[in-house]
This record gives sequence, structure tokens and C-alpha cells, in this order.
Amino acid sequence: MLNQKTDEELMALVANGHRLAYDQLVRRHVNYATALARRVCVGHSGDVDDVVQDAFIKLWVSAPQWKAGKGKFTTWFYRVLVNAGIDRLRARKPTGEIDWDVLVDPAVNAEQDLLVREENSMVAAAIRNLPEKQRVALALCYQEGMSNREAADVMNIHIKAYEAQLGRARRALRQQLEHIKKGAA
Amino acid sequence: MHEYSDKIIDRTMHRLSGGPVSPQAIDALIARATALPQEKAAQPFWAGFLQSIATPGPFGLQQQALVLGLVAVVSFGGGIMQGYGQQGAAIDASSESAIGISGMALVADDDLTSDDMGLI
Repeated sequence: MLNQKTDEELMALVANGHRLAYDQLVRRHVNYATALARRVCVGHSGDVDDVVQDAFIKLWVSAPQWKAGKGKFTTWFYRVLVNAGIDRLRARKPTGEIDWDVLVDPAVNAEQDLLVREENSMVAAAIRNLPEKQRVALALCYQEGMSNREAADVMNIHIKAYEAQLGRARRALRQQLEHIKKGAA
Repeated sequence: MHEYSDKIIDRTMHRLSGGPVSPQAIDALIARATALPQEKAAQPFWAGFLQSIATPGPFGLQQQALVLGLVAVVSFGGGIMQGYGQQGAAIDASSESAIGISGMALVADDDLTSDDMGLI
């Protein structure tokens, strides 16, 4: 029965301490939330689990404060998640190391594997130099099924401002990647 | 060159979606979160008062009845005290004027000596 309820209906139950509704909500969103946390925390894979946990704990603890009808559950929840990610990144002391949990297809050969690792490291290094807002805009842009409008709502900014942040992020990344590529050549 | 960079960014960001979270990790997350107390819902200041008087109080009475009873006692008691105060003032005023009038009458009586007046 619970799996047929909408996120907002489940959230209303969670607000009253309904543990099974919370269980349902976590299982429904945990993979999507983890993917977003991985993109926000690029280069700090050790923080991903903590960020996801912080967001889901906030979901349980603050559920009674959540007001139905004030927007979509996912908009509120992904805003919580993104803020948890930013808090973690700010708390981290900047180090030169890139902690990258390499996600490589097991079917690829050793040469391709090396190429993938190299690309991952390059992009991670470039993303780490982006300002927070551009970094978040980029992460949301790759979230499956999320429109620009929703991404702007998650960031609590106008859609035009979101698109501007995204454009700047892409330009900055391109420049950095080209610079790295030239340096390697 | 731009296209090349864009492809690298796209590939890497898609790779980041990663695999599913393990069921054990999900169970642990749920257990950890639900062990924590939930925050109380925000409500206007008067809602707390209304809620408190709507809940059963000591001695099996509703707190509402208790509060109304207290209000009634305080206003009734206040009224009585005020009544006594006014009555007392009226008595004081009348006794003063009576003494004043009798005193003037005594002074006007030529047959009375000051000793007689002291006896009254």
C-alpha cells in the first residue's frame, strides 16, 4: 500500500513518526540521492555516504516542519542534500589529493581503464576549482530526469540565473581541460 | 577542441551515477535516522495554550475546566474584596461625619463643660 503513495503523502506520514513510510521514502530515493551526492562531491568520494546520511537524517528529524503544498518533496529534499554536500566540502581542508572512487566498467580492457582513470582525474581536478554554485549547477544538470526549472528550484534561484551558472561552469571546465591537455602534450 | 572537452565532461559525469546502494547500507541508514527524535512541528504561540487547556489535567479534570475555574475564583474574589473596600470607605466616611456633627452639637451646648465633652 505504501509503495503506491506519492512522496508528499509519505512525507505527511513521516511527519507523524511513521517509520515504514520513512523506510519507503529512503528506498525510493537513496540511489538517486547518492548519484547527486557523488556529482556534488566530485574528488571527495569519502564524503558521499556521509552527505547522503546527513540528508536522510534531516528528512526524518525535520519531517514535522515540512509543509505539504509548499512545493514538491524532491525539490525540498535535493536542496537539503546539496546543502549537506556544500557543508561537507566547506568543512574539508583543501588538500592537493583527489580522492576519486573510480567507477570503471569491468568489461573494459586495461588500456581503456587507464584512459577512464585519466579522464576522471582531469575532470575532478577541474571541477574542484569551480565555485560552489557552478559546481552544484553542473551536478544537477546531469541528474537524470531533472529539468532546468527543477534544478533552479533546488538551488532556489531563477531559471535564467541557473542557466547562466551552468554556462559559466561549462566554459570554465572547458578552459581548464584544454589547459591540462596542452600541458600534458 | 570544445567538442572534445564536452565529451569528456559528459562521460565522466554520467559515470558518476554509480551503482545501487547496498541493502545493508540502506537498513543501517534507516535504523540510525529513526533512532533520533523528531523535531516538534512549529506552531503559533497561542496554539500551545489552546492545546494545553484541551488536554486532561490532574484529578481527572480537563485543564480547561481548571483554568476557567481559576479565572472565575480570581474575578469573584476580586469583586468581593472590591465590594468590601467600597463598603469600608462608606462606613469610614459616615462615621467621620457623625462624629463631626455630634462634636459640633456638643460645642454649641453652653451647659456642657470641657470635662463633660471629654466623657462623651
